[in-house]
Amino acid sequence: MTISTLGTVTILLLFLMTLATASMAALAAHRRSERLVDGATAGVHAIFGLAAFASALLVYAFLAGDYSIQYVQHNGHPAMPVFYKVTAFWGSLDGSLLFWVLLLSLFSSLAIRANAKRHRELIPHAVLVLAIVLGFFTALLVFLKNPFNPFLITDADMPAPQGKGMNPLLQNVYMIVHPPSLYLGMVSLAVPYAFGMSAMITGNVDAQWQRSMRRWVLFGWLFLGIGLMLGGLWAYEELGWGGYWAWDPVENAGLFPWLTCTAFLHSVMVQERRGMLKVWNLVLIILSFWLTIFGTFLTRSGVVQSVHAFGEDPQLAWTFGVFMVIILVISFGLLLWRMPLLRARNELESVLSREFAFLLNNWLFLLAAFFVAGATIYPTLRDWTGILATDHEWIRNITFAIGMFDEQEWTTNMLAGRPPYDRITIGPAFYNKYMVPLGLALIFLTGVGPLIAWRKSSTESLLKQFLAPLIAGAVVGVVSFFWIYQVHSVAIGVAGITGFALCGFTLWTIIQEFYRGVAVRRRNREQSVLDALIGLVTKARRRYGGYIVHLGIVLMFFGWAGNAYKIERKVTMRPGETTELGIYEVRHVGATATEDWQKDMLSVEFDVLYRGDVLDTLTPAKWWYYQSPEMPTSEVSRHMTAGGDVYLSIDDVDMTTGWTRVNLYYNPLVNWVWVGFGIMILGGIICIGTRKTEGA
Amino acid sequence: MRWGAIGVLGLFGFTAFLSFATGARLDSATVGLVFAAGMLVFSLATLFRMVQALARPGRTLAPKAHELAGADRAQLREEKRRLLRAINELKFDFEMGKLSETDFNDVKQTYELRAVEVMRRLDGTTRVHPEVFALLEDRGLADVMPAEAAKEEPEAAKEEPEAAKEEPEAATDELADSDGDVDSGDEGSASEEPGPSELATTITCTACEGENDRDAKFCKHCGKEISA
Repeated sequence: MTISTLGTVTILLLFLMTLATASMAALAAHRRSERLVDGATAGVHAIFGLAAFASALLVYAFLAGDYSIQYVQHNGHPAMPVFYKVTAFWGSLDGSLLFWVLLLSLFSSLAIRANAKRHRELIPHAVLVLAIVLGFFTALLVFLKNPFNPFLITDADMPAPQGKGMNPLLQNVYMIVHPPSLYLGMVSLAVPYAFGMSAMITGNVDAQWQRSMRRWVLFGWLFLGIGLMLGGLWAYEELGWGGYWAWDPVENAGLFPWLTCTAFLHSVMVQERRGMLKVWNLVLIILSFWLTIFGTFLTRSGVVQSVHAFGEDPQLAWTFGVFMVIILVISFGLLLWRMPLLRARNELESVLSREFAFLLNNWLFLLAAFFVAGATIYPTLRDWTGILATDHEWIRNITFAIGMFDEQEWTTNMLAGRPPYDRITIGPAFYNKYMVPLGLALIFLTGVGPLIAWRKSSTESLLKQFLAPLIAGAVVGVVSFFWIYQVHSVAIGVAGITGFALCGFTLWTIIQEFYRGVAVRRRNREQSVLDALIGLVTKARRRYGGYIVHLGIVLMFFGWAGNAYKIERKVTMRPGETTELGIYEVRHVGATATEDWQKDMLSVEFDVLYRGDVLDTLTPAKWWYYQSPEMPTSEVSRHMTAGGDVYLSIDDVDMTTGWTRVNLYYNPLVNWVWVGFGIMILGGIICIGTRKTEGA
Repeated sequence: MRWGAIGVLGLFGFTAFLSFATGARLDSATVGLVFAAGMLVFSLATLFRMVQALARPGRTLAPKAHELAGADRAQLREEKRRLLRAINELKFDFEMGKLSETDFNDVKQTYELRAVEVMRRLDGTTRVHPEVFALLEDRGLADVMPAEAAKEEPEAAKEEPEAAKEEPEAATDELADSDGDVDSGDEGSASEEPGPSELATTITCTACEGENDRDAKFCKHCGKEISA
């Protein structure tokens, strides 16, 4: 039996097992049979077992170089290092779907095991939901994207075609970790969704299940964050366009659920403290899960144009589309059915309360998620509507009325025999225009939230709380304006000043919270400052872990605010020539051409000078991999400091004259983004913490 | 699951031994093959477990009446946890200067009154304490739970042993997890929580001399804090 056949049979078995488990779970819930509950629970573990076996087979096929399998032939290469051979497993569409099934089955298995006793009544329903989701993804593998598909025509006399190898751009350590992190984050959100659905089906809608699921959401949030940031780092270091986030649809796909998860992590606190926002929290759980499926749909169906979508596949697009509609209808149907049980016992008593600040922050997060999702899908929706409008006049009239298409342009194009409309793309400028103010409002709330008390705050206490942070914010805003003007000779705009000021304001609130917390603790017991600080963080993990996350966010915003005086220059330089780049100068030293077993390399040396002294020598390069010479990669070189990066990438070099087309960037404060990200992750880990009785 | 893991490790061990004994080179493909074989063993073990579970004699889950009582108790416990946490958090916020003294006392008293009633209901006490009821009436909060409180309540604690067992664990979460504002003067960590057997012992409130559970933080008769 070939690996291809064995793999296909395993995937088929896997699919049948998801159906059997779903049926067992449904029967167990209906008949209230303990035996069937155990059977369904064991079924989930068996699904994981089979998914692990199928994945191991695919990895083995890569390691052994079984190029009779199409997926292995397209993504594997005998000369690839073992590490890349293993990671090629999820490097392309079919394998990534299997990887998705593997992770989802692993999480399902862990969640069911951890909650089997704690939420016994929810288990059969949770298994049912998880088995259906697993069944959907496995069905994709069986019917549309089998990674074990062999080449149909084989000639025994001819050796199997050698593998093409993984895309050179993806042979990068960030790129190896980035997709699994995003998958981990996205997949883990299926667990709270399944338990949320079970809670609604059974009517056990108290906050207890949410307490168990909060950790899963936090886990998902953490890994989505890691995935997004590693994607940013990869783009920054590999693509050579001087930035790390360009609102690419596929990157956005990871951002929507991250935003809704962030909203949930705040609003669940309101439910825990005040018994409010039950419906809202369930909505956020449903939306977060739905957005992960929507994100997967965007990434895998090719409906949006992106630098790294997996390619166009209308069949997959339709399948995902139908699944997404089913999820929405069933989830919100259940929510409406259980609405009477979800009525809040308390009401919002004052707008000067922390719950109101959280509510406001939730609206902003949701607004941001919908804005990004809407802007990402709008060009595609416009295209689809355009196709319908071409055939139906009434649709055309509606599109003219709402301004989607211009009637005059449409008619002119039609008369000239051209397509009636052009495909549009939404660029970073559009996103930034709306997301910058939203981001600033959110960082402001990050500072405000902790300062006000639950339920209500009095005016004089507000004044006492806000005075110092407001002064700090104003001072930071003014000082940063003058400092940047003095050192960099740039007058930053209102957004920049506000950004710096809000960073100062929020940073001060965090310091103030720690300071006062330590003071209270030391008042109650004799402790050194360090002991009190450690005690504060360890005994109040969620609160102070959350503040550490906020600190990370402030530093990231500080890094983003640096964009206010970013410099970008595209110049042609010859050896010996010097170009000014803000406070630095860049001198072309010379170009060299080399090669190794894998690629041709063209490197250019540049000196970075500050006040005439050479600080560093940078060597940006262009590499041509032999396996795909039509796709040269850009190797970035940068001089890193706390104040900013001098970032160089080259477009073209004339080897006879040494003329080089080079992109020069000065990215102020950019490294604070990475530092802030590290601190944010640390805070997230503190929040997750550990628990002796693992309730997930 | 454990046997599956032992099987996988055994296979790896056996392959390493064979390679050492025969002097053959252990390449990545061989390791991959052994890993795949291990996963096959693991998946077969999980399938066997499923068949085993299905082959057991059938039992039904707890009847629905218990379930509902359990859900009620769970809600009450949740309410109690939330109120206790809210009080501690309020104190912490007050000590940090986020509330004026009047606001603090006002809000705290409301929480305490609610906590008293929730604890009494959890305890199976059927009526609202007259003093508390008068206070609630004074404050216009008599509708917190008068309808149910006036009625006889099923002794849910006896009906739902599993939920009762869960309580210490849930309380553990509260202390370990609460935003630590619980922290004021309360070093008692998760491990110091009493076990189920200890819950029966009582302590006396210094203010009204009423009997309370040993882990009580507030008196269920008068609502005053019980000093340790």
